[in-house]
Amino acid sequence: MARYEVRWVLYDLDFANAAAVLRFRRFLSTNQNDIATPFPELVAAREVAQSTDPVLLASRTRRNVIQDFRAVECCMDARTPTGDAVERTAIVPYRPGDPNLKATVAQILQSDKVVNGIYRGERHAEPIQRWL
Amino acid sequence: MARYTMDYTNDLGIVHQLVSLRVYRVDADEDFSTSLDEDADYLPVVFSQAIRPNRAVCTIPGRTRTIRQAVVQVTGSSFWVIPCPFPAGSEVFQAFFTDLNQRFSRVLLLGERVDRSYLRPYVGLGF
Repeated sequence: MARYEVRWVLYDLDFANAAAVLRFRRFLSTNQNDIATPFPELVAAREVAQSTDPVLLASRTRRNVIQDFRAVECCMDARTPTGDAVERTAIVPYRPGDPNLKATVAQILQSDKVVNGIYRGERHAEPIQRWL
Repeated sequence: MARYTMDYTNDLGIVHQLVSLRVYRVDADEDFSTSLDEDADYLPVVFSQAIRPNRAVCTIPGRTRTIRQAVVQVTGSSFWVIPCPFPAGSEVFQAFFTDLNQRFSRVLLLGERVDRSYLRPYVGLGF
């Protein structure tokens, strides 16, 4: 059974008028050990059909244009079989200043099994010139 | 020591007033504080305009806090790190980066982090 699923999310970058379709890979809740990545209503509202020119965000590739997207790193109410903490990274597709950002973070923190979380801003490892 | 007193607005819209922000240079993995004269040459206009004359009396709370910063490459191994007190999506934020981008060929953005103990109250969920 698949442990992951891929969703395509329309994501507003920190720079005005810049947006990209991100490939967001999330954990599914398939058995006791797989805790789903929070994907609340406001994030689902930004879901789009698969893009032909996505900004790939699989963290191990060097092709990334954004190194990290805006996210909440959630600490989940679960343990791995070896006793480690379970963390899930939930995407926040709204730009700061948009009231939906705060609402999305609140929805993520209120999602199933989320204990608390750290907010992480956008991070660019490549020159930001292309977004201005 | 180039330290500036400013009002820092985080991505969630919370304003931290009168905090001390430091501009510094990284050369071969060592960091050096810049001087005020040095800074005057390249700091964005919107940054200089936002400097407050007061003394910095507050700190941004939280353990895992990191503020939003711009990193600009000056030469091969020399970087300047400039804190960005403006929230993304605002006009000043855009002006800040447009200005830096005109002066330097390589401008990067490091996002902020908001501590887990403060994230819930910041979005109105209480402690």
